[in-house]
Amino acid sequence: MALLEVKEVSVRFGGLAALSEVSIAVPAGAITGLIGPNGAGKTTLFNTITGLQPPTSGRVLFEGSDIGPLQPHRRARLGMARTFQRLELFTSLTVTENIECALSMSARYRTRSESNHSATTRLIQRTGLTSVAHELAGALPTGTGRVVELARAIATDPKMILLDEPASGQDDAETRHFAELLQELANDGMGVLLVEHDMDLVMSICDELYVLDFGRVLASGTADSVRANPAVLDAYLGAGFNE
Amino acid sequence: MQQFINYTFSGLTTASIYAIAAMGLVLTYTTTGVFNFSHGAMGMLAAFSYWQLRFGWNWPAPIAFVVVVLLIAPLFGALLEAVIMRRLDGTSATTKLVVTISLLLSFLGLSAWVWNPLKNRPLRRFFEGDVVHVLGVRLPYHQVFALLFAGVVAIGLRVLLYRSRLGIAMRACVDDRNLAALNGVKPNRVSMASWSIGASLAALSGVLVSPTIALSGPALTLLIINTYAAAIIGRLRNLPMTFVGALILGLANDYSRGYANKINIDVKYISGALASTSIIVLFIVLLLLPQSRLRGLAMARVRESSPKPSRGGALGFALAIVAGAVMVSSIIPKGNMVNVSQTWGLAIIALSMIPLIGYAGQISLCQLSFAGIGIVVMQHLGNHGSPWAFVAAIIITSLVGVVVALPSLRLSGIYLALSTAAFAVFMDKWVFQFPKFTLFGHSFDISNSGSFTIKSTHLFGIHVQTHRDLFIFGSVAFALAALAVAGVRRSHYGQRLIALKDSEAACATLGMNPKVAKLTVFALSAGIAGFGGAIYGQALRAPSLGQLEFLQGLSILMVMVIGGLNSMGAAVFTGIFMASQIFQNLFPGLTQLQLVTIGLAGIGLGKNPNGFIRKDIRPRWNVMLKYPAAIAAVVGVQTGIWVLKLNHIITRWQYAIAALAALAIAPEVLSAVLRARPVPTEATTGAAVEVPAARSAPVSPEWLGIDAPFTQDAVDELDRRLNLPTLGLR
Repeated sequence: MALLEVKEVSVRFGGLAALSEVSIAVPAGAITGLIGPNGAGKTTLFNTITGLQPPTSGRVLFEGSDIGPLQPHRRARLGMARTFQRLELFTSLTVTENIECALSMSARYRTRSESNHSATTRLIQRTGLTSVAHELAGALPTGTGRVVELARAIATDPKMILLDEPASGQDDAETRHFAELLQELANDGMGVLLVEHDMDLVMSICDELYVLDFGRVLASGTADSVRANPAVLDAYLGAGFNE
Repeated sequence: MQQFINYTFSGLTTASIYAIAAMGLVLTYTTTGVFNFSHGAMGMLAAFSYWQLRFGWNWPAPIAFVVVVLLIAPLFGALLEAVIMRRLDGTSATTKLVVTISLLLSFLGLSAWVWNPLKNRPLRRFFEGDVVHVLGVRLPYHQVFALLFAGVVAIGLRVLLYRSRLGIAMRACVDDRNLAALNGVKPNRVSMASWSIGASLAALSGVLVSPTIALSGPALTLLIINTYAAAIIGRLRNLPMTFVGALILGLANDYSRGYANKINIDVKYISGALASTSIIVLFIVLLLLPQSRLRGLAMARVRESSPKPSRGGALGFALAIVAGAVMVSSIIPKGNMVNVSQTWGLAIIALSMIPLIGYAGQISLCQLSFAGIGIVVMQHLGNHGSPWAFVAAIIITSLVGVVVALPSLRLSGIYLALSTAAFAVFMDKWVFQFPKFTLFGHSFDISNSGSFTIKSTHLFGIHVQTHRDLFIFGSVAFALAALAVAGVRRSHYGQRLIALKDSEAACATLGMNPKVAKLTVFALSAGIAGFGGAIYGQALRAPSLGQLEFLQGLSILMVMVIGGLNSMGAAVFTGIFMASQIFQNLFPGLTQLQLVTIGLAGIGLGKNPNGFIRKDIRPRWNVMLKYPAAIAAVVGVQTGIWVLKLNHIITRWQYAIAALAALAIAPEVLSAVLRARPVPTEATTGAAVEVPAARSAPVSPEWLGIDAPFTQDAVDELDRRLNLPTLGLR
C-alpha cells in the first residue's frame, strides 16, 4: 500500500475543471515526480492533498485512511509537509526562527528527545544554511528561500514531503545539493512528491513519474517510459512534433 | 397601516442616503483597492462646508449645493488621490486601512478646528415646508430629493461602469492594473476619477443627511459608518447588492425606531440598540459571509520586523521605566499629576496591541472597549481596594476577548477591522450606556448610570492613594505587562503569532491550528487591555463614558502605529502623548492640533510601516546597549540632572530640557568617542593583508574587470569556459 493515495480527485472552479479524476500513488522511501505544462493542475493537486483546497469529488488516503474531512493542520500532524511554489516564508523571522517555529509546530515536538536548539542547528547544517542562519527570511534570494522552506518542512519530521518547484530560482550547484538531499530523505524512508520543471533533475532522481495535462493524468511510469510516451511529447512540444 | 406607510417612506429616505454613501465607498474600493474608512468624515466635512456657504455666507441653496457636491468634493477627492492614495499602491491592507483611519481623525480634528463644535448650527432642509402628498403621506421635498438622487446615482453609476470608456477602464484596473496600463489605460487617471466620484457621493450623502440630525463632527462621521454594513452586504464589489443592503438597513432602522414605542419594553433599555441597528446588521452580515479560503498570499512586499528582545534587555527596559517614573514623579507639580498619572494605563492599553496587531497581524479597533470592560469590573469588584479586582478584570476581559474573537476567526483584514469596530461602537452606544436593570431579583448597573467611581487599591499594606502613588504604581504595572509581552515574543508561542501574520497557509501546513492561535492571542490582548483599563480607571478616579469612545480608541491605535506596532517604546510614547495632552499645553488655542497631528503622521506611514521608534531610535541605541559603560554614563548623567533639580539648583523646565537633551545626544557622543579611539594596529595590518588576498581569489566571470583586473590568464579562462579559440590580448 502506498503512503499516499489520491483516488479520482476532481476540482472545479465554476465551469473550469482544474483536476478531473486524478489518481496517483506516492510510496514511502521513493521520489515520485509530477510534471506537466503550466496550468496543468499540479499546484491545485498539492492544495487538495494538503487540505487547502477541498476537492469537488474523490478521496485522499494517507496511510490507508481517508483524510478528506481533516483540516490542513491535522493532516500536517499526521506527517505531511509541503513547500510552496510562491514562497510562504515567515518573512519577519530569521532563518533559525523559521525552523524553530516549524519544530515547535510539529506533532512529535514534545516526545522528541533531542533538544530544540540542537535539532535546529543540525538541520541548518544539513541544508547548508549556516551562513544565513541569523538573517531575516524575507531578505533572502528566492533560491535560498526555497531551501529554508525545505528545511522548515523537514523540521516537522514528516513521513511525506511535497515539494512545489523547489529548484526554480536555484543555480546548478544549489540544485545538485538539493538533489542529493532529496535522495537522502528518500533513503531514510520518506515519501517525496516533487513538482519540478527542471527535466534533468526530474529524470535523474525520480523513481516514478506522473504527467499532468489539463487536469488529467496523461501518463505515468518510470522516467524512461514517460520520456518515450508520444502523448507527453505532444503536451510539452505541441501536437505534430516529430523527432 | 397609515403609520406603516409613513415609516416606509422615512425608511426609504434613510435608505437612499445610505445607498449614496455606500455606493461611493464600493466604487472607490473596487477600483482602487482602498477601503476608505474616512468616507463618513468626508461627508461630514462636506456637510460643514455646505453649512458655511449656505448659512454662514448666505449663498443660495442650489449654488451652495452644486459648489460643494460637484466642485469642492471632486477636487478634494482628486487631491487625496494624487497626494496620498497613489503612494499606497502595493502596500499591505493594514497600511491602507491605517492611512484612511488617520484621514478620518485629521478630518475630525480639522472640522472641530474650523467650526467650533460648541456652537449650535441649525441646518434647514431643502425647500423647508414644501410637501407633496403620496399615498396619503405628507412627503417633504427633502425626502423626495433624497429618493431621486439615490435613483439617479444608482443608474448613473451603472451606465458609467458598463457603457462609458472610463467605466470600462475602471473595471479593467480592478482586475489587473498593470495589464490595463499595457492596454493604454492610465491607471492614475482612472483612480483619480474614482476618488473624485467617491468623494462627491460622500459629500452628497453628508449634505443630505445633516439636516436630519444635529450638525456635529463625530455624529455625522459615525452615522455614515453605518452605511459600511450596506457596502458589506454588497460584498464590497456588487453595486446592486449594495443598493439592496442600503434598503434593508434604512428600513430596519426606521421601522425599529418607529415600532419600538409599541412593544412592551421600557424604551430606555433598547434605545442604545436602536441607535446601533446598523452596527448590529453589520455584525450579522459579517458573520454570514462565507469563509475566505486559506491560501498563500505570496510574500508580503512590506517587511515588518519584530526582533526578539533579550532577557536582560527586557529587564533593563522594565527597570528603566520604573526608575524613570520615580524620577519624573518627584519633579512634576501636584496639579499636573492628575493628567500625567493616566500615562501608564493608556500605555498598557497601547501595549495590548503589540501581540494582537503587531505580532499576529489581527487588526482590532476595539482595544479601548476591552479597557472599558476592565473599568466596569473595577467599578463593581474593586470597591474595597482589593488587588484581586485586577485579576478579575484581566480574566473577565480575556473571556470577552474570546467571545469577540469567535466570530472573527473567519475574517481577516478589512472585515476583521470592521467587525471589531462594530463591537466597539456597540459597546459605546448600548452596553456602557445600559441603564440600571433588575434580573432575578438582583439589581445590575453596568456603568453606574454613566458615572464610574474607581477606588484606589491596597496592596501589600500600601495604600495607593495620591496621583503620584498611582503614577508609580502604574509604571510598575506597565513594567510587568511589558515583561509579559517580551516573554511572549521570546516564547515559541510568540514566534507562532508572527508566523501566523506572515503566512497562515504555511502555519497550517506545518501543523499549527491557526484558529487556536487567533483565539488565544485575542484573549491575551484583551486581558492586557482590561488590565490597562483598570489602571487607567484608577488614575482617572471617575472615568466618563466619553473617555471610552470608539474614536478615542482609534487615536490610541494611530499613535501606537506611528511609534511602531511591534515596539514597547511606542507604547510608552503613546501613553505619554495621550496623557500629557502635549498640544493642549503647548498651544492652548489649538486643542484640535493633537488629532490633526496624529492623522497627518499616520498618513506618512505608507513608507515606514515599522514606526519611527524602530526606524530612527532603536538603531542608534542598539550601539549604546553594547557598551555597559555608555549605559552607566547615561544613568549617571540622568541621576545628576535629577539631583540638581531636587536641590532646586535648576528649574523644572531646565530639568526637562537637560534630561531630554542628554538622552538625545548620548548615542552621538558614543559614536564620536568610538571614532576618536585609535584603532588597534594589529587589526589594521590584518585587514590590509586580507583585502588583496580576497581579490586574488578566483573572480566569477561576470565581475572580471570590475573586481579583478583583466589579465591574459583571466581572458584565457573565459575563452575556455565559452569554448572559444584562444585569442591574444596584446
